Amino acid sequence: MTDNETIITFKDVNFAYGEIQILKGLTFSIKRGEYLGVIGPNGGGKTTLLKILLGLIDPTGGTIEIFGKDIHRFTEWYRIGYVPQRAQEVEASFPATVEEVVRSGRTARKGIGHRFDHRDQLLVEDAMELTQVKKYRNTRIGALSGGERQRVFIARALAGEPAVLILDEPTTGIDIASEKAFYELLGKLNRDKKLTILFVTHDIDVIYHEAQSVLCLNHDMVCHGLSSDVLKEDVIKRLYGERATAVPHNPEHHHA
Amino acid sequence: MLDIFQYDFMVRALLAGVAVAVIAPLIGTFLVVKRYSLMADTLAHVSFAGVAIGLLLGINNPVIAAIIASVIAAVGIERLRGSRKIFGESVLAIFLSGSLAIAVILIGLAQGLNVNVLSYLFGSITTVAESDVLLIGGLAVLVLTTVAVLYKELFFISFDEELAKASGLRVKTLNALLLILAAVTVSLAARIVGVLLVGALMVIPVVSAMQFGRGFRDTMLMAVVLSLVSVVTGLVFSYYLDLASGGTIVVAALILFLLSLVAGKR
Repeated sequence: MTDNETIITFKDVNFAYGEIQILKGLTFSIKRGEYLGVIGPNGGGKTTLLKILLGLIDPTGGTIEIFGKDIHRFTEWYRIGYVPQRAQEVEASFPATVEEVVRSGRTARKGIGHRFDHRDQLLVEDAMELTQVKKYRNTRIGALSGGERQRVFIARALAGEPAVLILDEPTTGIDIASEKAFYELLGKLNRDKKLTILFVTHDIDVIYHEAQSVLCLNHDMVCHGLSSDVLKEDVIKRLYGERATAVPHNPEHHHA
Repeated sequence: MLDIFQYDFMVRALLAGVAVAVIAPLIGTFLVVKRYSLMADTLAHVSFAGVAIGLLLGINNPVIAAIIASVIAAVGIERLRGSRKIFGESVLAIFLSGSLAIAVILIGLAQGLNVNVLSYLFGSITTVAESDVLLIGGLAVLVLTTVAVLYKELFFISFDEELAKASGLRVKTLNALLLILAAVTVSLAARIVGVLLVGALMVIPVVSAMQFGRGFRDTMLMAVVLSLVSVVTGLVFSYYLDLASGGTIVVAALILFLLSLVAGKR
């Protein structure tokens, strides 16, 4: 395994719901350690792309390789950590503590009939420590704020020792201060743990400041490359229409 | 006070009642958090149709026919819900009223509503035979073992089904298995509290336990304790005050629910 190893490859991938083409001829690859933001308008196929990548739906055409295996023969799904967009949707009265939720991230790793052991608990503790949710371990998940829940969901994904972390609009409904802390955590995981990260957002600002590379999606791939290189005015117009413009950013004022 | 144990039928009722009191809230916890609370009632009605089929066919222990019918229905319900052609709760309504209709016709064919049929509707401790105790005990151990082995998977699919699926878990199989366990539990519990009240025993102790703000495992264990208290006190009171056992058990569970509402607010 090298740093530059390609771990995910999409070749001419299509997806259609009946007559409606959602993804057209998508070809790209993700390397180990990459920090990739996926951006595009609503209905442009971002969530569909994630669902395909997570094996939840089958593409209608093209080929996908994950860790060198065709997606249909890939079985080690626990190597892909997923943080869904549902931090707001957790039922307040659901009887589960933060620790129980984080521990559930190891379920697929262990397999049926294997009980959690000391090593599992150590990984759960590490994940809670890293995401700073340890102090909530005995608190019900529903009692936490959106930002705290999202950190718990990251801890759950990390507890499963993933090689790739996939996040779907991770900061939806989260206040600005928590959002800043959240992306700091992702950046740290990418730098220190060499974790490959792919996240979906509708926020161009976040891509500019946080992601190393970007994939722009509006049914087909509008751009793919280093975010500082490819997010130009013409690309933004192709993504969001002629009336859209790129507003110059001052990183100092970011999230202020 | 202990003269309750002088009667074999009471000892049998208590043994079967304790077994049912343990597994009903165990499975009930998963059903409640998955928003499947009405599933218990639906499967109970299906199990009643099973009892009717059993009586008509002259099967010695109609509980076996009840289990077979409700397990088949559980698999059918899960498939229909999965197909997304019909709303989830509509599927339950169809099975609930449909099976009751079938039961009514079959009982009519089997020459009227005899005492035995009534005992399945409302529960009867006096008719619990030794073979019932053995069947209920044996299957309760099977349900308990299955939950113990699959606990982490069942928790995962209950909390986040989509993530469980993305992690490679066989979510459809696990859901079907949970409903099969529910079908078996409902058929066994119906023998004690009756078809019409079985849903209450699977749901009320769980909802009571949820009021205390604890985690999943603690809530489940607390639900089992509350259910055991309800069943034992219900059976004892029904014996001494000559009340209907199923109703007394459920009223005991309701009183504990009200107390837990008060205690949970503190």
